[in-house]
Amino acid sequence: MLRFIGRRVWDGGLTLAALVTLTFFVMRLAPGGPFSKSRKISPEILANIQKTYHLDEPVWMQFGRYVKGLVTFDLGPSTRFRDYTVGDMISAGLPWSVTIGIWAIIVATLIGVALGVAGAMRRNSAADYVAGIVGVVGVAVPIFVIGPLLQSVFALRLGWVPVGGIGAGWRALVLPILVLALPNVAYISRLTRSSMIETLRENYVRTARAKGVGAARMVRRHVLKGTLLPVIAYLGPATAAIITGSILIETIFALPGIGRHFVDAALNRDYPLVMGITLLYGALLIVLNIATDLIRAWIDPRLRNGR
Amino acid sequence: MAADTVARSTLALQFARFRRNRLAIVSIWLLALIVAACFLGPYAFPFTGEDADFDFIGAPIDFTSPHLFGTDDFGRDLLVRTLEGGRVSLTIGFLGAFVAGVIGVLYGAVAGFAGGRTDSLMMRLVEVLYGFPYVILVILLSLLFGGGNTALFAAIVFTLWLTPAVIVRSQAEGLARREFVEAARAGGMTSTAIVLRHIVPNCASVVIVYGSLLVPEVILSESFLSFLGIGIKEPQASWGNLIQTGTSAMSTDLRLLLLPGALLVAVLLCLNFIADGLRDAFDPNDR
Amino acid sequence: MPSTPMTAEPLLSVRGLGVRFRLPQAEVTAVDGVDFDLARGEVLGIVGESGSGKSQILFALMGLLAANGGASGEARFGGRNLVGLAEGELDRVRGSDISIVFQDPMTALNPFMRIGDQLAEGLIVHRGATRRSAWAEAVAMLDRVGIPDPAARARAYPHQFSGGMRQRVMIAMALLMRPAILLADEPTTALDVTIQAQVLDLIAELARDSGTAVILVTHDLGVVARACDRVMVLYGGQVMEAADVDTLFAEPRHPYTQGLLAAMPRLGGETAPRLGTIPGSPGSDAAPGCPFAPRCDRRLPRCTVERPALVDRPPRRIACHLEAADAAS
Repeated sequence: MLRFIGRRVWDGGLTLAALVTLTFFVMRLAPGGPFSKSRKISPEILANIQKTYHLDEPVWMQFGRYVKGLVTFDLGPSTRFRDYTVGDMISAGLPWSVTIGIWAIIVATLIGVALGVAGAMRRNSAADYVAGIVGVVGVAVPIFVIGPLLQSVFALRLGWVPVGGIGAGWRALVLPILVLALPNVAYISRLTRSSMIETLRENYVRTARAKGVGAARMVRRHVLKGTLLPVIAYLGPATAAIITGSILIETIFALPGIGRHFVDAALNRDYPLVMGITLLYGALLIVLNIATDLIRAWIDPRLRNGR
Repeated sequence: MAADTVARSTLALQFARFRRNRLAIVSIWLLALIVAACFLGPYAFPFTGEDADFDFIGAPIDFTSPHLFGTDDFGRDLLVRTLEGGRVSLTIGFLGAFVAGVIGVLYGAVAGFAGGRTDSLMMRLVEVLYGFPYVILVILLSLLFGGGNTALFAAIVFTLWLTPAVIVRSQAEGLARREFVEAARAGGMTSTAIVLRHIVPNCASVVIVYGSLLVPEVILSESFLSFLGIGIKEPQASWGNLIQTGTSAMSTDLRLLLLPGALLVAVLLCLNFIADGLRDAFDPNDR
Repeated sequence: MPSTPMTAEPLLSVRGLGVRFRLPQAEVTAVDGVDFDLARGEVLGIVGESGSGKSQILFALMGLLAANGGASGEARFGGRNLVGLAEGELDRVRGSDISIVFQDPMTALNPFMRIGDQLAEGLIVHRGATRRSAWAEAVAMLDRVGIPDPAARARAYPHQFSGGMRQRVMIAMALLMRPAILLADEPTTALDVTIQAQVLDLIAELARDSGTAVILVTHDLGVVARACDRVMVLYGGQVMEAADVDTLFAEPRHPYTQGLLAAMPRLGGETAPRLGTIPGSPGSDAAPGCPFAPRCDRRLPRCTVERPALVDRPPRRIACHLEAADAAS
């Protein structure tokens, strides 16, 4: 078990190191520096700015400086919002992103599992068809199409929720959370349905029936774990999907989360901010992947020894 | 070669099964129609999507005017722009899926066939790349390649070859131990020839199924990035940036959002139904 | 506990049992008009090739047929007809009065549950036992089926057991409730040859000790010879011949039984040529005659048109037109 965790952490560290290196060099090699847009800067001032941000040093020294900063959790100053450090930007945006992200996962899991179980228990019932339609819509209708559409109906036409921004408290977050949850509802309900159908066919479920334990106990004690295992395994990919989605959601609904900062930073070549957020996303993904593996191992004793 | 004949006749059987899936067949026809409209449609109009018509600025839907679905704020024809945008999105979608598929298949086939240290090293690389937040990587790469269509394309391909590689590797690993591969090796066939002649063709059905899932993924990635302003940029149209334009105008006029949005959704639906149909036909035990 | 007193009245009485499956293209009969009785403490073997419907008889009795299958006929047990019994009623019988050991021990145990919990579950559900006392009984039962260090092993999970040990666990689970009837569906097929005999002897021994009647389904006549009192030979879902073991092995009358015996591998000798396979799927309902007719080397003209009735010819029951022809001559 310890070896298992060790291996996962080691792998995660490797991924993170590769990510640090890649992001750093991509940003350095990418055409157009952060200050190339603001023309009319005298050479002295430019040199000064470059000195402040250590852009005059050789690339490998900048890399070393950056890695050193990382170890002390110092991500450096933002090159665009010059009065803020990357840390400031992230800690301002993160609560918003985390709030909508966590709620989206909770909503998606609850609705998705419920739809999937209903569909598997009563195949071809009304619930099954609803689940099927949600599954198709959620997978095929992108967030940036359904988001603006719902926005125009519920915010602009009906006025139930604000169009965007954070002025209206929790009501401002209802639509973003639902839209962000939708693709995951689709995926989780499909996954739950097929996984439960498969589990119901397992020989050990037949053994439980042969023991005469009754339908309710059979589902609770014998079917549920096998059904949820793939759903839990989806937690890692779901995080990635939520990150991707939140970038869109925060742009569409004008929320001040880190997803929106990331897009702004990328468009404005704000290297430190892009790298900081990338690393945060990478670390988040790695941590959640490891958490996923641990939960799976906790449920499935077969995964506990070895890999 | 006996194994080839078997593979081919199963393939034929699987296509026969696919043809009975009505939803998938309808999807294919609808998709073909949309593709034809995007590639041929614009030629039916006397203007291109980048020509501004100053007599019709922000014109509404009017089937009697030359601009059937109206124009945008620059007087550019919405229908033609949407079709031209579709041409870009579809080209990137199919070409990107194809290239990513080829890279993934070859990488996976080589890793699975080689086995041992080569295999574990190659797959370790895939695992590391898998740990990356995928969209972030696409954004970074498309910045690295300097923006524009080619950069976008390269970035998408670079991140999407992983899944086919993993899938093909596990297939190839099994195939490498089969008798006909042993026989080919004993007969003096080179490793390259074995990979290309035996391993790759025998992975055909898995590749078809997962390849069909790649196309909507690539199209989605492209429009996603263009929507954010990182992918294809004005004045060139793509479904992503058209939807973005439509979103900013939606408080007054939903039309600019609905037309490209509907076409994108239709294409994604068709591709998903086709992929589902292929999976059911090729992998009936899946559910 | 069986409510049947110790009389000549059978514990289980099956009449006209049929099993049919609905397939997308057609309906297939897997079991057709099977009659038999089972006495207390008796070990009955049901023999046949794969597809002969032998396992489906057990599943029909337990209400475990696949979703597209349906049973007809009658199976009297303790004053109830098991066929068509409501799921809730059935749950009172299953696991408590009748239990079953499945063919594949590798997949029949829940991989997410400790062995002890899986055994204890029956006692908790059917007898309202506490978890603690149920575990104690489970551990004692594991000891009886020959699991070393049972108290520790009860805390283990199925994947930590070998195939043979898992089948012992299954047997322990089935016998823990002291059922009146134990159904065993090819319990040794998935096991190593060296372990097969041990497991069979275990079933026979435990059944004898507790007075449990056993129906043992197998395709292996060696298994029958080792463990059974009586045999029923099944082909195409129909009973071909039934007799006590000694009679059947000494004097097989039905051509199919004779073929089976001739195909039995013998120590030190050459294996007799195997029976070929018949084209078509078993139980395809088209042919009106004897299901074995297409493969029978002593086929009469009427065999392909008229189905032979199962008749009493003590000491056996047999369904074959040759019997009638022999009797007439």
